[in-house]
Amino acid sequence: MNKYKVRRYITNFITLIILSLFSLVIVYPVYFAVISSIKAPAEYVVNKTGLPQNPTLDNFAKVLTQMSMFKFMLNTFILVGFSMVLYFLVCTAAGFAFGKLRFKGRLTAFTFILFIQIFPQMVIAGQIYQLISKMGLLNTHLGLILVWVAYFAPFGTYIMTTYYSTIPKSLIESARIDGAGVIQQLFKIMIPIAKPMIGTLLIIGALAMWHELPFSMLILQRLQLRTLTLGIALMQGEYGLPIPVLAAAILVTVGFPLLLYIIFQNYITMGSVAGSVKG
Amino acid sequence: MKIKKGRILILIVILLSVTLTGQIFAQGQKTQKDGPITLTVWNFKYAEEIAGKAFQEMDKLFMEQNPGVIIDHQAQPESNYYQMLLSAFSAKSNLDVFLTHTDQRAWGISESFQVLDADIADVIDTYSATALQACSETNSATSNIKILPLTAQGVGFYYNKDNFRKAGLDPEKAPADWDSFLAACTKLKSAGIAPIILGNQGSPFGIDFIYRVILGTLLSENEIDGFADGRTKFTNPAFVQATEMIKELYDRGFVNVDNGSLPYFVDAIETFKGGNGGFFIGLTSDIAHWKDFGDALGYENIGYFSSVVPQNAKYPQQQVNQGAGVGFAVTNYSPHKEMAAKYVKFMTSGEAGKIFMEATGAIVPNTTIPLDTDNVMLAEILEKMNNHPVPDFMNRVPGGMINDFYNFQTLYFISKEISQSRYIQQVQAIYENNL
Amino acid sequence: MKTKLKQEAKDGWILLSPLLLLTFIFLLYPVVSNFYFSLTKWKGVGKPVFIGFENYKTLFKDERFYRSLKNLGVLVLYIPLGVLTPLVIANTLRKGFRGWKLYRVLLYLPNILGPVILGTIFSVILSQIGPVTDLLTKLGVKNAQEIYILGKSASAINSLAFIFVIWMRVGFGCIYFLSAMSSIDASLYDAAKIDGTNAWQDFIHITLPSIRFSIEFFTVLAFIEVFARMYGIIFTLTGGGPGYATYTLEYGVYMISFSAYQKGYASAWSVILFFFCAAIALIQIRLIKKGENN
Repeated sequence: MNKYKVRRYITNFITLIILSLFSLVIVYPVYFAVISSIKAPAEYVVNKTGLPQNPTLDNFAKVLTQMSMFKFMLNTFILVGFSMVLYFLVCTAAGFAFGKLRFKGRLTAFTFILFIQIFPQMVIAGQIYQLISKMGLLNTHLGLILVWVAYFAPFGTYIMTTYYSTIPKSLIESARIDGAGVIQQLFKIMIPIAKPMIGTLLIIGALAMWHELPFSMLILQRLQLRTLTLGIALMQGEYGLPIPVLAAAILVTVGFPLLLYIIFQNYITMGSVAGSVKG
Repeated sequence: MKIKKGRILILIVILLSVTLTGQIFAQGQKTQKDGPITLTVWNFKYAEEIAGKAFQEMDKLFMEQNPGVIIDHQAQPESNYYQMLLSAFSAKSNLDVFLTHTDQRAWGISESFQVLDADIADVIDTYSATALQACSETNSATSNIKILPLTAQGVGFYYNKDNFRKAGLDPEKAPADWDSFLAACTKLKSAGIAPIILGNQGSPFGIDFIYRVILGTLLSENEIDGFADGRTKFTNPAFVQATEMIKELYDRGFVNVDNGSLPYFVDAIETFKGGNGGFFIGLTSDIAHWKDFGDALGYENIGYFSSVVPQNAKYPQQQVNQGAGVGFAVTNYSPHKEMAAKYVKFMTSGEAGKIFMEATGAIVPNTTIPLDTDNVMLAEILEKMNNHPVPDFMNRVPGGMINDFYNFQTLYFISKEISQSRYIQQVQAIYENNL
Repeated sequence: MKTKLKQEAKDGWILLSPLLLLTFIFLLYPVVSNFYFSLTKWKGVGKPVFIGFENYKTLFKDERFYRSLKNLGVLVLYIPLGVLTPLVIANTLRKGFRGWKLYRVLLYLPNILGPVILGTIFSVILSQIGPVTDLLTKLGVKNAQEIYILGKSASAINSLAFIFVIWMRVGFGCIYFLSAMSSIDASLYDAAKIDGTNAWQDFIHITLPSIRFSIEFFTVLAFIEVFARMYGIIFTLTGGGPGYATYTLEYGVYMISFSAYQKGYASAWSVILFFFCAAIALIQIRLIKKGENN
């Protein structure tokens, strides 16, 4: 018994060290961005790595006023919000089909979905632009929402497929015997069961869309429609930004996702969640 | 059955609401109507603090003088600007006027630029000839003008007179030739001052700036133009010589240690503006120029000379003059070509040009703009640019080679991982990949 | 029995229809047209000119192509570690751990920041005047400022590999593996405890086999990410340099399309890229098939 405990302590201790090292490497970039963002560009040139001697919030003021940052933030929320609803429905439905159902052509469809999103965004951005233009969806939020979901849903589908494949089929069977149609099965069983994954799926999808640049840049060509990520790209102008201003812009852009993540992290499956789904 | 339908209904409702909300926020393509003409303008400098304000003022002036015209000026990211133009051109989307560079990035897609010869026929003499040449598809000062120049840009050396004094150098004497340049660097180094401040991270490189000015003294205008189509090769003795000269600067420790990690824009510029370093290779307009450094260090503390001059220089006086830095162009499918041409003429001359010049310190190459020739340094620079211009070879090389070219400059000069012959060979290969 | 299968098929296609609809409308033409463009000479605007397999001939003679393959080889070698690290961490977090809530936030932080931001920040941190050289100077290393991690070929590619393939995989990897592990039947572990196994044996004999599909799939995803999702980090960290040290197929596709206006040639590169990824994906499909036949 004692030997077990000692071993456990040692393992925990080593793990603690490794995790702490990792965390340090993770936190440092953020720390660096924070201390840089409160230095004036002139100070940064002479003091790149140390703590700021004359901290200032000027960089943030510049970022917030030079561009219509609040408008961009609003647009980003609208775009990501609506996209995520569609994304969630599409991914859970498709994940259900791939993960739990068996039918001819299933693997073919799965392969197709896997293949269709191999190309990086820039490679297909030009043709997507042509399509969107011809459909009259240029400079519309709807156009971008549809493209985002089309491009990112395959990935979300894999996640849900993985998850659903570990759930016992008996759940669906019993609902089917009770006469429930597939849509009902989806909404009454599969979605509620996916609760542990909702957070994960949303975070992954939302982050991908938040950071997305190629499609947003081509489809949203007008200032009033643009996203936060585009706003930062615009700020750079012809000559780029000094690191302190760039750091401030970065913090403004990721500030929100970070806050949301911290608040909603409980909904993300990470850590001791008692596992087995009772069948 | 009923319940199933209900669920489908919910799905439809959700999709509909997405559509509707999307339409509410939609701003589709503007339809042509009688009434106010709207010119859509794309500009990668519009989101910049100073330039942006200047453009807004200029637009306001135009709209006052041309009631019935609305200027819809949109900022676009510079990082993927040409890709955006490409997409717009291929879909012929709503775009009338756009800002553009005058190097190969533009000429690669210039089939969609409108020829403006007829529109500027009456004012062609007001534009500087070298500027027009840079804006012409065929490099002519009188025909195939597809861009109207907004800025004239050149490259040259600045030096810090104060640091010269500290090193025991005569602050009024710019180094006349290569040997005296090296001697000056030696003295600066002994005085603990970094002789040359270079920025070689990202794009552009201080190294390529040095190439530009040295090649300007060794090659003729024709030979430099030959970089556009493969006539002039990188195995050319002038390029080899320039390479050896730059290598000597590195070998003798005359370049700032951190040059590989310092972006030219804006860190290296800020470093020199902070009073560090003896020499800095800068521009003549808009940024990293006489006004920038003069305002920061005091005009009495800044000196200028157009290039380091090798002993065998054929053209020792030459001033690298890109002709034009950026300019405005018109799309050849615009439904408002006439008004668009009027707008670009307006923006690159007269009142509007003056606003831009005063705000940004850029040289607008048009005689209708009075220049402040009280400023001695500006007068000196203008004299060189007007009387001894030589094209900038980096404006001629195929755009696709630039990124790889910089990466190999790093590999050779900074990381020292390859030999000089291998370097030259590689650069020539990159050049051929992109012709 | 037959009606059950028929019903299941109908259900399946109904559920898949939104996804298939979206991908058919928006992704099919762009992806397929790319294959066509690889057989043409085209700027990206104007009319493409059909030239058959010329682009491929050029590609196989292009030094950049071979350097890209070499670099991808290095990156791929890091993938096993990139899969193992989140596995081990997830396994540790699975059993509960003091302070794990904090780590949960931290581990996903790189993903929140995104590759472009991370590349930018790391290019500053690893620079000649960054905290790394500062630390070295404090430790007494002379001329630390001459150390240029991102400027030397070997250290550049290895830094890139470490950051992208291992470090940036940890966040999502932990989430993914933890969710997979969370549905392992707890009774398996109880049974094993009775037999007197230790944590390591549990890991090898129970945990890993139970989430086999997830591990395989995560590896496939890692491959796809390395081959086709690295542009952001390469561009901001090293720009493909020094020389061609951090140049990959994907980076080549971008540079050749947009800087060189050679979209036809770039499409040939992207087709080769596609085949690499497709090959990996097909292996995964094969494994799924095998797994289901058991």
